[in-house]
Amino acid sequence: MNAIDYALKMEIDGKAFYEKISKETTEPRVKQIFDMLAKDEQRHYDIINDFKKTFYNYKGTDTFKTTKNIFSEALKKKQTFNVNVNVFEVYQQAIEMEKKSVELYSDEAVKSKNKDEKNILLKLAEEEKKHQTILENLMEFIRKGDEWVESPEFSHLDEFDKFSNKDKY
Amino acid sequence: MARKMSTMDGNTAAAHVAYAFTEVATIYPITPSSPMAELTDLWSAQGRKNIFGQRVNVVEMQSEGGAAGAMHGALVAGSLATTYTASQGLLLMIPNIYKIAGELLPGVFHVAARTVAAHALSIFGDHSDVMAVRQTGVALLASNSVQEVMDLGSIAHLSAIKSRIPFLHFFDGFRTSHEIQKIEVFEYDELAKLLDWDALKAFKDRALNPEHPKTMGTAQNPDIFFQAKESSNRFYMAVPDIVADYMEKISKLTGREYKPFNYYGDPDADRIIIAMGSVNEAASEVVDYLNSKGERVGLIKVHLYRPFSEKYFFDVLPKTVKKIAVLDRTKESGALGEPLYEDVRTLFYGKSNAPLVVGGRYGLSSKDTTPSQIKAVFDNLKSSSPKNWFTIGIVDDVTNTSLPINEKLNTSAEGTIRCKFWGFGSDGTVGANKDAIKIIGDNTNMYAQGYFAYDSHKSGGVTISHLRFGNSPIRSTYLIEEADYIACHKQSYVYQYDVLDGLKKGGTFVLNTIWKESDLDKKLPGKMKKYLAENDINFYIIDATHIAMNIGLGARINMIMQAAFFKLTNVIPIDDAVKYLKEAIVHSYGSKGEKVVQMNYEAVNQGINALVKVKIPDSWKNANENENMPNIPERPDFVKNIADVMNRQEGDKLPVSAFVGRENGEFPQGTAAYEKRGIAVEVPEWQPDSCIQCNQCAFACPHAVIRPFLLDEDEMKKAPSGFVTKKATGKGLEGLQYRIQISPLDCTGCGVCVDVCPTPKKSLVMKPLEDQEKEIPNWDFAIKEISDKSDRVPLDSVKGSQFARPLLEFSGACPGCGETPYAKLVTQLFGDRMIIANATGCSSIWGASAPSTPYTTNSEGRGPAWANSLFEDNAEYALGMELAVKYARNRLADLMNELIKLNIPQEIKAPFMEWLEGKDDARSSKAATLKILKVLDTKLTDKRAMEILKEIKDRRDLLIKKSIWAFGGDGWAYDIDYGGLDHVLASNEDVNVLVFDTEVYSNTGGQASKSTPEAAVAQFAASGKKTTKKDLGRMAMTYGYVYVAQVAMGANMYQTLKAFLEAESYPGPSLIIAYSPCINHGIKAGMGKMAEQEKRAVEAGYWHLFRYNPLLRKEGKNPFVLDSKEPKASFEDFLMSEVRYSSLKITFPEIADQLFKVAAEDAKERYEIYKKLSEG
Repeated sequence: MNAIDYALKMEIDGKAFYEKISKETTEPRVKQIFDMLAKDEQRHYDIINDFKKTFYNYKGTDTFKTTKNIFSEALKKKQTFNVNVNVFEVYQQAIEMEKKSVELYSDEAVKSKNKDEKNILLKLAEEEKKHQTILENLMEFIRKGDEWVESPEFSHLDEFDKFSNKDKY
Repeated sequence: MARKMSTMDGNTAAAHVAYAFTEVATIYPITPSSPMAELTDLWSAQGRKNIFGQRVNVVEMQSEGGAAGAMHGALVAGSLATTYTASQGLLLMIPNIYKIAGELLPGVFHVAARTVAAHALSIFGDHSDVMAVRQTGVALLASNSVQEVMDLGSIAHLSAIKSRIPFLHFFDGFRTSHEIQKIEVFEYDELAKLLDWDALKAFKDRALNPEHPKTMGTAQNPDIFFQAKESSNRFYMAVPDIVADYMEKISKLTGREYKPFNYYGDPDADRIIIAMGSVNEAASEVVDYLNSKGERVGLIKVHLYRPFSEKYFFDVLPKTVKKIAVLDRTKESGALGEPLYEDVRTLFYGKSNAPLVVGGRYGLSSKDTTPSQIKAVFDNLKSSSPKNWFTIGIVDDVTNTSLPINEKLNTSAEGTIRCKFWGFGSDGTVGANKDAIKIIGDNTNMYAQGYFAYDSHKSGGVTISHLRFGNSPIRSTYLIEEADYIACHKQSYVYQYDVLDGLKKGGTFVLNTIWKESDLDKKLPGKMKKYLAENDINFYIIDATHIAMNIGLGARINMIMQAAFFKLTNVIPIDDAVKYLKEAIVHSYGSKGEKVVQMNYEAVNQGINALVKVKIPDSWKNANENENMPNIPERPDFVKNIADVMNRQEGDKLPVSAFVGRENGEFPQGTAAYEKRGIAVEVPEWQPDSCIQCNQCAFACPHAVIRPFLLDEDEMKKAPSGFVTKKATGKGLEGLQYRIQISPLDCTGCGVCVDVCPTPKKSLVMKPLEDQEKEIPNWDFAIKEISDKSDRVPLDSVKGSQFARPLLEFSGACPGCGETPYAKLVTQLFGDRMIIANATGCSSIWGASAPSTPYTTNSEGRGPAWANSLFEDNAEYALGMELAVKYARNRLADLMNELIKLNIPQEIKAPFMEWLEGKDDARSSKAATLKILKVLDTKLTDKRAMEILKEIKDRRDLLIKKSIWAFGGDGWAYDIDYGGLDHVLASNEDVNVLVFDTEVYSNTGGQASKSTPEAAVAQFAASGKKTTKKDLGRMAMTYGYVYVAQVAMGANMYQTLKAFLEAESYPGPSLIIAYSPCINHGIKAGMGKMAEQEKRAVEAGYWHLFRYNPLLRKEGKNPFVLDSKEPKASFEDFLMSEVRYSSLKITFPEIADQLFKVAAEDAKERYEIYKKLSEG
């Protein structure tokens, strides 16, 4: 299995994993997030699948024979996610999974002696990092809704930024 | 040339023009001026260039005094220096303003004018600050609107350079500084053309320079000081012409006419008003209105207040004027009149046919000044003997200064659409409304105005947005009285506020509610139903709460409600509105990724389609006003007559007489307990089966809403059904039952209790508030019927400490506040005998935002006595309290020493001797006091003894040892009052200092302090703080006799408790630095993980726990004990778990990598130092 096939498999497993947990949870807000995460894995799958067209023809190595797929591992275990927690914790746990993927690809890239494979692994790490960032942004966005404090003393620069013409001067 | 139109607030307009002319900006945060400094710092970090092609050199100082000092230095060394401030900040600058003016240096102060604290602090607007500097020699230039800030702000700089006189440009705090308007914006190249480059060169040539040295600031004697002072007169004489000339140039450029005094109204007016500031906008509306009705009135708008030019004044005064009312936005107690009034009177002194001049006060602390009030001023002038020294905007039923309001006016321009939004603190309403203004302002020819009002709670406060849109410029500088559209974004507000107040007949009302149309009859208050029916209101409902939840937006309903607003008001065609909204979403959230954008798109779509038009039944016209209203439990008169009124947002209706008896500003303790705001979505539910009775949940709760109770047999019998208990465990608790009780209506739902619960299966589970209503009577029972049994267990354990009643409860602090658990603990340990001096800041706001007083009393009526003086003096304030208490108790000691020498029975002497023995020990003095109280009424034959007993009885409230505390944040302790704190610690007096270290100025919105660690992004540190965190603890330790501790409750509750107990009992100064997570940190896991985050901080070596106890040295031991273990967790992982650090990686990645590395090294080095100290 080469790196891209490995990555594709991991996304498929990820999707299955999130769908499975979504079924286990009863809390609608949490369920909604797992459904979204499952859809995301499909989207990631499609993105990586596009890589195939450009990068697939590198010579495969044995690197991934022994590498553990975090989602397939998770699927085997009864419960790796605590499904009865608040939405932020769900996000946090999902972010941790993405982080592990980033680490996995980065570590393998360091180990790999094949130049093409090294590149594709770095590319995959970068892609997973993007997924992580998206989730972090989303979590931050939702968190603000729960914690946002309006006070006459606060000036939120992100609001002010809208009124300033930072590019011009 | 057509200038760009842009939507911005007054602070942004001021910062924009100031940046152009500024070389050095010396800044310090203070509301409402901070955004000017923040923008300057941000623009500088982003590389914006001033008109000289340079980035502004921005430096944050330790206080406004420091900012003025640095500004003075920059000026004398040849840089154009600017600062931004308000209120107390401006007062702290006064000594330097005299110097800068005396040395003819062209500095500029931009001031968002704000109330100076007196009987109370107020962050809102009036002219008490700028009037306090009118004698310094600085020129005072007033702008009345956001557009004028843009137009006249530059004149302050241009005139300063040309005249050599420093300028203070001011505009009204909040009304102008925070009001958003669509205005015309200057380009920098236009401004550059106006500059007197020769004057600038001359200024630079005069700078201190060893190439051509001179001496500035000599000490002068009676022989020459006076003459030298008078020698500057001609510079002042030249100012009005210079300003008038620049105004003419700006008028030509903009087409808007400016003069030192502008006249507006009938050229043959018989009555005029003279005023400064935003009131002139509203007054212009009234002038137009009255003149259209055939009256002959006018208005002189004062722009250049100092130097006051008689020439320019009489240039514009119509000869026909017979009567003048001067309006001052300040109060000068004891004066013949307020300053502007006195100036105007002086103008006419000795002049023949002088008009009659009266003066009055308006708008103190942003009190709304409406057209109706201004009409009352003109009406007053109609009288043959108009009232002088009057007030408007209040009902003064004590000294009868107020003018009667005879008519309610609507003077806003025809076709203006007026909208009011009742939002909930966290729902994003304010931000969404700012977007709406921008969308309308940017995409149509319409003018737009936005003003935002807030209540004083940080957690779950109400926000009221006032938006106006129209085809002509909007001059309505007052809150919306009559609305076309009102939206209520929170269902429960229908019971709390009169949300429909002012909705015009046929207007539109939108309610966000989970109720269905069929539920409304049984749910809506009768008063509301009646109003809707009688006034033909177009009534819509929408369930934005569930829509947001289903989309995944959490509590953010703003986009849904904003889309509904565009749909219903049709200010712009809905298809266009949707397009613009989506563009705005991309602008705001594009960088956050497609997911966030899509969610918001979905919100827009659903907001438009989910509106339900309610068919209002005719029967609603007959509804009983009190129908469906909740019962209000019995409460004290003060709460009923004052606090409740204020909490209903109706405090404006309270007359002056409501404050008779409390003219000094005092408020009773414990009013927060009556608020019962019910703001949480979810609250914890106790799971008795798994609970191990550790009380950690109570220890960590920021709002004291979760408490352990111990019940004896009698109490168990009285308990309501469902009041589940379990057998209390632990020594001393035999025979008692244990229960954790939650107050659902006081809880903010932060979830910190759940997070700290150590049982594997959590003994607290978050449940929807509506499922926990059963706990409301249980809480009432627990509080009222269960006795205090804290004497059964020692307080020196985490568990034991929590059986003591917190005397700080239900504050308005943010959910998950890191500060309040510490303050609460102090009150549990020492509350019945403590006095708190509280520095201005978050802790003074959650500590005493009228009418909410969270510091309360125990069953005996004892509790913390609390007071706030200022920001910059709190350590000294506490020391003063200590000195007073010490003096009074020494007097008691002297009396007792005299008493025991008199010929009185031994059994009478004994308690006094015991007291003298243990006077300064809390426990001993308490025990002796109990005995003294029993003998104070004894009849003795010795006359002197009787006198002494009487005096002791009079002051028996000082018998028990008092615990004096100074509370404050890091901005206070590390920066503005560091000198004072240092001095107080050095004094060796028994003052306890508790620093809530949030590592930023939390209350003013998160500006960097010297406690902010390097790499943290904060306001004033837009590209990450470059310098390391000050080690306040180690600095205090150098004295050797100061008790110092650094704590983090979530990392080690026991260490925190121990430190507090040691600090308080230490017979000298003590300093506790308490790590306090804050919403400004952006903890990614949420504030519910606040305690966990403290633990992470310690484990990663970001924060260290230690105690330095000088008493140990006396025992021959090392006084320094390091309580935290060698850091094992990743330092960078900790940084990345908070947005204040991780955001630097996104905005300035290269700086981030470098600063993170240095921060990690510094943290390590700090640990090594502590380790060495602990090794002796």
